[in-house]
Amino acid sequence: MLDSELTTFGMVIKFSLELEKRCIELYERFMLLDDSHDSSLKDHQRRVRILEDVRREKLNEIMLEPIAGLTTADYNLSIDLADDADAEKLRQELIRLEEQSGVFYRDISQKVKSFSREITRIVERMAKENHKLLGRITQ
Amino acid sequence: MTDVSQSEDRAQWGKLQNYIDGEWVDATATECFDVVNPATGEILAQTPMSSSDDVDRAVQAAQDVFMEWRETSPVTRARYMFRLKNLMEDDFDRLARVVVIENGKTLDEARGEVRRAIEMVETAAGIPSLMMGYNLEDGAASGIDEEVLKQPMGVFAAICPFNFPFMVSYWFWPFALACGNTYVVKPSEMCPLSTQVTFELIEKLDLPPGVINMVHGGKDVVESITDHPLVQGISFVGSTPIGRIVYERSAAKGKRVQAQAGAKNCLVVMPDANLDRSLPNMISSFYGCAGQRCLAGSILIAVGDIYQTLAERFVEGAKQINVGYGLEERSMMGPVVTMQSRDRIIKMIERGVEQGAKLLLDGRGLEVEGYPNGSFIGPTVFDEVKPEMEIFQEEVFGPVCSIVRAQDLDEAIELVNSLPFGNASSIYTDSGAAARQYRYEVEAGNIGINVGVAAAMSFFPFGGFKDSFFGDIHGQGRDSIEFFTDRKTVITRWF
Repeated sequence: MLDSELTTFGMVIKFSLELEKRCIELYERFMLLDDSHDSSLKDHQRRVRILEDVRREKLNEIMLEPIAGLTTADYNLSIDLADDADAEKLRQELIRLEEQSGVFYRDISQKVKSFSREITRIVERMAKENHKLLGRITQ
Repeated sequence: MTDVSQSEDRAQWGKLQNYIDGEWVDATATECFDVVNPATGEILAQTPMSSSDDVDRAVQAAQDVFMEWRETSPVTRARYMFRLKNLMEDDFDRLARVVVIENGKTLDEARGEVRRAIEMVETAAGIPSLMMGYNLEDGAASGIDEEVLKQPMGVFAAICPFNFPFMVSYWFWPFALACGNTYVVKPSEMCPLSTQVTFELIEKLDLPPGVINMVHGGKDVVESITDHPLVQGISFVGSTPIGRIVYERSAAKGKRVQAQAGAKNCLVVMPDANLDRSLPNMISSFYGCAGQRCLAGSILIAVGDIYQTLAERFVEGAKQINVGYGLEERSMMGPVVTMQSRDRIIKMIERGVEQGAKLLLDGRGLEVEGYPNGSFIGPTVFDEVKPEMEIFQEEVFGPVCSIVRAQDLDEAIELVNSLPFGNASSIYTDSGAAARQYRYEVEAGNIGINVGVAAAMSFFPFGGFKDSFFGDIHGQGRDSIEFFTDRKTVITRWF
């Protein structure tokens, strides 16, 4: 995804899904070297389902308002890893992604607060979950 | 970031078929109407201009199966709705994309539209509770009971518009079928594909053939439906002139009619309005669906000293709208439905200028990179609009906002009520007293308080006042049950 402003609900969810898929991809690679993080992988897979449900079910035209002040450039999703990166390098990258993810969901929660408390609660919960996931990977 | 590569978006649908008596059949007429993707200018399909013979076949099929369907228990009819809901969920993304390619709205807007349709089906699935009658022991006299039954009436029909090509038919037929009636749908000839995919789902339900039918076409189909002696009632959504004709012509034949017509919705902004919170909502009301919805804001009434700030901030907000192809997630507003619509709106803007309104933001001449053949118009804002101007009085049905000033709330309400339309109206304020006065005095069927698109949910009635609605019983919710049933009173005495 090129850097761009996240001005629509659809763009925010699309970016969120991309973020989750990067995490899944990285956990899958990590687990080839260290299989102790299956639950984190499953958590991210579940989050994809939650986000897809949000996009399908929580959208109401009454609240389809433009979103301002969110830019993809503020969240670095690029993964800079060699194909033969070792477990520690993968772990460091996962830490960075979990941190980025937590910040992103906190930022979203502030943006959507004005039009959907339901979605706000969901993304706040995801941000909290990032904290838990971060704890697991940093152990 | 492009999202336009999925194969179904470029598929040629060819000449569409009608769905009559459980089968896909060719229309008898040879004349067709081109269905055009408003963003790309590509021809997607041809809508057959069906004849009165096609309508008669559909109505007859619906009439023939009516008694069988009526005798199907409400709980069984509800189960069809549950199955349909699941099919819609499974196909959700494709349904939304079809709406975008034929109508031009954005993916978010299309998703919202499909979700609304699903909610109609979910609400109709409650028919065993919704359709219950009532009774009173000893109601007629001591030892004589009285009860009311709600009974289906026969064949109903819907005449649908282009602006919500997927959702609007669902305002009606799920309730009609759930009540035990049978049905004929006429989609918009401009945007028939959403209904086409609806019927692909309906086909999978294995309903008794004839319970629901679709006839494509234009004026001939409308007239045949309104005149057909077996059609008990008609639901219409479209413009006021056509709505009035449909109502008068159908009512003259003794049919029930609910004709939802045009609109000219005002958003009144009080000096105490929280602009930080409400401006995005106002922007969405005026420019969502490119202004092509009957609940769209059209006139922005600035009360008192909020005018200057409101006008400046509104224009700034409107400028931020990214206009583009709806299949691209970044697009905040798509094209209007056809080049003819675009030309008509541009002419209205020109007349607005000629009549003395001041253009603060001009959407004419907008070009969208990559889509030279799209019917795009950018967000447009007029200031210094006066009640005698066409731009104040007439429905634009496009992305045009007219700013009007009022000294106080009384004057604002007077302006709102001076319009012949009464579909929706909103006020932005922090004052409960102002909101109450607005709700009490404004002559409109849907009122928004700090809400710019006062769209009733499926379990509430939806319909306008004045020239925005012809008929008496509105669509959706319990009103639907009243519209699609007749009440039979039974007085019982046993010896």
